[in-house]
Amino acid sequence: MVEDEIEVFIECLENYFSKRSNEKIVVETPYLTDNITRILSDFTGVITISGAYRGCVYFTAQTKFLENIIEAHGQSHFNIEILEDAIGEIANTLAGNSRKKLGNNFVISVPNVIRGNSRVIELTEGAHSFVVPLKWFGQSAAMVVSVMDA
Amino acid sequence: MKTILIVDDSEIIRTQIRHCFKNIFSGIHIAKNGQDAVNKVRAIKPDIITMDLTMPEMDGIICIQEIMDIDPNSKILVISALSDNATCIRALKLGAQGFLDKPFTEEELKNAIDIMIGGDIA
Repeated sequence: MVEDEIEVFIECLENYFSKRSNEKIVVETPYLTDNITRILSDFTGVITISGAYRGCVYFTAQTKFLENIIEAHGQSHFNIEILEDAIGEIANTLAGNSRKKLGNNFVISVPNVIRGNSRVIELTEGAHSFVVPLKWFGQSAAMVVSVMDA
Repeated sequence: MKTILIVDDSEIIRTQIRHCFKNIFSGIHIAKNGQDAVNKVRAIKPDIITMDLTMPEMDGIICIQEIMDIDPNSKILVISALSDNATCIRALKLGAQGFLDKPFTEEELKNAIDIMIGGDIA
């Protein structure tokens, strides 16, 4: 996946957070990562990509970041299930929205949610894997795009 | 005052939609998957249905087919992140009346429902 296609995901990120509140998301400079790097925060939603592409897209965030998202949806109480629901919904929405530009052959799985940073996510061998760090209400999160042509 | 059935496997999305319509619809019902939605359509015959597409047990496309078999006059607004043209057209061909991209604002949701029910949201 080339840098132009990464822009598709960044646009989806900006659109997602613009619909949640007036607080602007700060997208920091994306960077390439190697395939053994782990970028895992408190909660991670992983979408597996198939079809004309292969790999994964994941969104990883701190608990407080997700609490802000949940509050922006009008929910005032939090538990583990709701935090997992939120990270899965974000990952699913970002990947789903990207199909508008990448096409129907960008096939996405249902989200797989990981709690904590004790597990390794295998990035796609041979792919350029990009990390897109971001901040929202001062809290950190990151989107990782590790996708290549099938 | 009308009734609405919110079909989505995500609690935060159900909360957002419920919050949006709490003073508008007299009855707000929830279904967490497609099969649950089909059962509730049979039981409560809602005026409006909001429908996610990616759900466990029965996805939204199959669910729309089953609901239209039960009541061909059902008013269904698809709310999905799968916003590509092919998915949208497929849902509309099956009988859905509207399509709203996730993520959405409360204003966008109210407008979409308002159009479906002919400006009779209140």
